[in-house]
Amino acid sequence: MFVPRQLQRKALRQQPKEPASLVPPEKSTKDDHIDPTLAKEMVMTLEILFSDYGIESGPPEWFSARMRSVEGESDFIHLSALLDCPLLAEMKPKPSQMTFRKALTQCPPDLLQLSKDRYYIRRRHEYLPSSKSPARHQKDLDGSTIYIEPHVTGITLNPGRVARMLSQSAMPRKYLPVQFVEAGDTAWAFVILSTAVSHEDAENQELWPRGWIVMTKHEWIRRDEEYQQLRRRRRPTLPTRIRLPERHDGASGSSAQEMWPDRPIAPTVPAGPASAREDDQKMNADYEPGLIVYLTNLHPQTSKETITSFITRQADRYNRKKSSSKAKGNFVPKDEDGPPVNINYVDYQKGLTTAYLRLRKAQDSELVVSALRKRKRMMQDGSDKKGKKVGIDSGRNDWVKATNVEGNEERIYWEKVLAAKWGGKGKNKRKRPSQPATLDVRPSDERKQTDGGRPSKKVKSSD
Amino acid sequence: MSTKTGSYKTYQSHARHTGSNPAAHIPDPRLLLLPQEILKDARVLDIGCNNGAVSGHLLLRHAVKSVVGVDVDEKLISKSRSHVNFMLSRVRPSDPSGRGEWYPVSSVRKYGSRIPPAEVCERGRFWCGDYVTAIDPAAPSAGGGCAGYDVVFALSVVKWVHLAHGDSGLRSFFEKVAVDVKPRGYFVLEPQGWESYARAVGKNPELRGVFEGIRVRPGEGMEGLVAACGFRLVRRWGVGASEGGWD
Repeated sequence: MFVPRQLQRKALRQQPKEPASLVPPEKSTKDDHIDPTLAKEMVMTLEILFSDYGIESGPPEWFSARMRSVEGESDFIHLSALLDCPLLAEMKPKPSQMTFRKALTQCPPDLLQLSKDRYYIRRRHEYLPSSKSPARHQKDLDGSTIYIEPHVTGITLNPGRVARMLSQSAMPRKYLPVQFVEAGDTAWAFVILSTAVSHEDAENQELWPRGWIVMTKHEWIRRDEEYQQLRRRRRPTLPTRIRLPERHDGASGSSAQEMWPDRPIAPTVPAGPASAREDDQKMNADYEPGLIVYLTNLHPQTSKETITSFITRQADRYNRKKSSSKAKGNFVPKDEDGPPVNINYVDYQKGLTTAYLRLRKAQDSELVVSALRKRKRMMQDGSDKKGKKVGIDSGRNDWVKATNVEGNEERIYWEKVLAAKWGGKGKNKRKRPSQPATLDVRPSDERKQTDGGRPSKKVKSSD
Repeated sequence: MSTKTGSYKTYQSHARHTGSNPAAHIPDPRLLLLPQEILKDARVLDIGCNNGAVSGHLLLRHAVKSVVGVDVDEKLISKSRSHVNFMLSRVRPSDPSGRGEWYPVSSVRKYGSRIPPAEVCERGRFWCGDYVTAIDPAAPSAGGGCAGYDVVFALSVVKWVHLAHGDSGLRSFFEKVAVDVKPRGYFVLEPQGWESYARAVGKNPELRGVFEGIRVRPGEGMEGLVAACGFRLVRRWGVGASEGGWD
């Protein structure tokens, strides 16, 4: 039957409203749930972050700076404070505070405890202190480490996904939970499990995710050494490709190192013949001194472009201020604000708070150091090109600082730069982190402050 | 370039179908469908070799004697060379297990490949050019000393040949393959569907002119054209007429 639209509306308006139900309507669960696979991966990433190895390999200050007391209980970290953790950098879709919350509600982790308001998280106290991996002997650590090549590329950069896939495989449960995933690059990683892995289990392909190549660390060392020997025998005239700093296996790009660049990570593989060869091949660096500046207190989510803009602005404003103060006494032409800073390269890797600047002239280095010292600007976020003034009274000390890299550190830096230029190809170069940021060739006084004066194991004994 | 010739990165990879990029050690499922006896010790031509993934698998997993790859993209040819070198570097010289990837990918990436380029060239040779118009000096169609190929692959490449050269070019393509393949040799053809042609034209409207002039469509005349060039259908795989093998 045809009913004019106006009458329809009228009839609707005249309908008596249903009395409100005393029982609150069931809240739609649609929004409270996220993809279960994603939820599991997020929770597993957090478990890795809070695992024995995760905590041990990270700087205590990273955790302590984020810890808060919630409802009278200590050691809680707000979910939003975890978002800048590099372990989550490759997770897609990018996690947020809310997705964390939903994931943790959906897949409650054994290891972690959520606060009552579900916004804070901490490791359950019954699991602390752990008798497991943190204090484990290096030999034990090697025993529980496996080398993996997953069936698809890219997943090694997502520790949660690796852990989820391993947990869903037929591997013996005694190896779980996954303690840590150190990604070599997009194709391979080392995974630290909870107990030592037998060679038989590693060989049994049925136990592992389909299409994965899995071997024990010892087996990997054996094959790696054999490969090196074979390569030297077959290609004696060709140069060995030099990888830069040490990491879990002696190569670069580990998650742990990306996360905690300032911590020395003991290489778990003894220096092989190739390392000696690399040492032999070190070039006599021919460089102009005074061009390298080491930056600290950068925002971990910043970028090379932002750093360039930030530094240029600081130098520019510093110059302007200097000329205007001079002009008070004497006449200074307007265009004589001082030379602009010339940055040749920003050696920075996402997720780090440090970087190296390569400048065109030594005067540029001095200018950057002076400008940052004078202006005391901190980066508020990853795209902050201006910076916020840190007041003297604030008691804060986290403005972006610059130090000239000199002496041995400078020589090591240039050697590594030259080695990288000489040994890498375009694609591999991209895969590597910006080497010097993880090289730990910081000025010795600063290294003393952060490392307690311990010599870094990341730098070979060339100094 | 890629919208004109289809030289997309990982075009040959089944990542296009699975949504993820498989690791180098994962075999290409298309090659597993083939009777392995036709590949054993065979001399293979891979037309539209892209990044050399198929060529590498043929050398590593299917025991072919040698592979010649051809692609229109110089960058992909360069990639193919390094990819095959990478894959061969992973094989243990005397591998008792017969498993290809014995050396870890980490070692190869860390120290570089272990096989000299000259040695790689003996097993995998790649040249850049349009197969229909360019000449491979070693090919029999060019009057070279090469004795022809046991197997010729044209996986997911016919559409681009067709859109670049039209029906006449496609015929030339099949005729050239017929010359290059040995008598009693095999031609493995993976044609793309007609809707795929339309998508390619959508991405690159320059192809529309040729596209509109095409009369020989996959599934509607292409088989006849292949047969007219001297091939006989041996076996068909996949859904409908999307895949076939000819000799």
